[in-house]
Amino acid sequence: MMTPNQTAQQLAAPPRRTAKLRTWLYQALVRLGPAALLGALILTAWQLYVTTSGVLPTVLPAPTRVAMALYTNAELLLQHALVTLAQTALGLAIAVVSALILALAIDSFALLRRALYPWLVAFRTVPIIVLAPLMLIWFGFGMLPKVLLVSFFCFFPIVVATADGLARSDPELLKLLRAMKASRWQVLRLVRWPTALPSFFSGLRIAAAFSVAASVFAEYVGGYAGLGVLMLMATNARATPLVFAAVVLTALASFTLFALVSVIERRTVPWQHR
Amino acid sequence: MIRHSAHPQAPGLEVTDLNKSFLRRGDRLEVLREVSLTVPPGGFISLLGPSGCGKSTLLEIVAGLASADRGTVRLDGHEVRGAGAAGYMPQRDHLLPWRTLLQNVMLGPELRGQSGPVAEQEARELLAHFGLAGFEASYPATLSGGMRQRAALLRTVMYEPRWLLLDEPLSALDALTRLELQDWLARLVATLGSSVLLVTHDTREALLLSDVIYLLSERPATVRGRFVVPGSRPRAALELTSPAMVQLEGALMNALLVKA
Repeated sequence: MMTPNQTAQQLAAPPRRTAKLRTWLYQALVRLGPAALLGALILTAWQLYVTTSGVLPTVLPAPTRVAMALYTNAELLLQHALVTLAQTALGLAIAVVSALILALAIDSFALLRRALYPWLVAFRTVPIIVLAPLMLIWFGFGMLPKVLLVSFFCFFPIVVATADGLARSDPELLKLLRAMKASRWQVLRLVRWPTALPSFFSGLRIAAAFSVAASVFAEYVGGYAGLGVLMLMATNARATPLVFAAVVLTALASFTLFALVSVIERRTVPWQHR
Repeated sequence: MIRHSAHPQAPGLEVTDLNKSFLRRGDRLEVLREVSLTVPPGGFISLLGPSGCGKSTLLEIVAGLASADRGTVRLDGHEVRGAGAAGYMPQRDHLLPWRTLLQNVMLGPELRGQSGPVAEQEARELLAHFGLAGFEASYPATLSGGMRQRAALLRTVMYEPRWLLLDEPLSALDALTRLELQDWLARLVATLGSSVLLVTHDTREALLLSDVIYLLSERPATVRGRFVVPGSRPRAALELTSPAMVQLEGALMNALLVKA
């Protein structure tokens, strides 16, 4: 054991850079440590339960077995994951573009806002993914119905959030711009759009996080490729570790999209993060 | 008090017989009654009156943000219709949070479509006069209240340096910063040669900065008196202790406290 005196000496001794690194590491440990520890605990408990209870791997595979499945089926998983990711990204992109256009239109024409806004808010609460079977009837088993479902699913949260944001400009700022004889377009570009950006991103983050789920669900209902299709096939073949592996990849894809949106937001809305 | 302008084409700002009332919950609320005043070119005129008397409304009408029920506003002989003729600075700084200090200051030239290197050079030079050099890339949220207020004034000056309409520009600041900025503003306006119409409820601020003080009554605002401040600008804070100034301050305070 060290006496308090020794500890103080040791802390004071290293040069500043090492000390800085040490504070940084300490802060990271304090911030992320508890969550990492809990995750490790759960995985360990899971592993222990599987090995001691003798539960069948077709019912509940151990984490190590899931890792093995990920490794041995890497190529197959990647192939299907890319399909899912591509249709999710495409659907999300279509949703963003069309939602922005509609939000700006709603903001420009009061009558359009009164006519459409209540419907958009109502539709936002409808679980759009239940439309997946209809998409199948109308558009078949290819990528199109999945892309459409994802964009339909992502469209409502983005358009409602953006329209809200556009309407929330500080009237005093608008008055100031009016005093400086700004045009409608200048007011939109300089005040209303920047005001709406944080709202737009909170809508986009929700949409992005759940877009992968919408994509996978559309694949469950019927399709030729994708993580949803793979999960269905693996389930039917009782290849439970592979199902888990596909679930892990789905979660990873969701998380990556969410993180990507957050990074873009930080770069686009720098004044809120300094 | 009704003043008829003898020279309708005279340069300067001329406000003649302004009347304004609002409808509030079905009742007519009279805010301005027959208000007339003039600001000569290069002059510094203060509107002194109790809070809520309609000073801000008067300034908004002069800025072209609101219209009068009756009466005219002329700037250099031309009747003001619509905004943009003068530089208007609202009570709070209203810097755009998503723009850096330099971008905020450049708002006026940008809106006029003149945000070229010439205007930017001018802005950078003025930043030093405004004690803001080195903060060009800072976002407003990181600046102190005094700096934000100076930045807002610079934005106004960059939009229109000749005519400045200032609506209690220093009232949101703490007492010490306010004293510093009053002193600074006195010297700055003298350097720029701007014509200023200042709205304030601070008697000492009006005395320190202006050539002429118009004393307004409670709502509906009427001009209760026009006071010429002795001495020449820019004044030092110490000049407020001269007998003539103390007497004028006493008269103004008395008029403000005694209901018309």
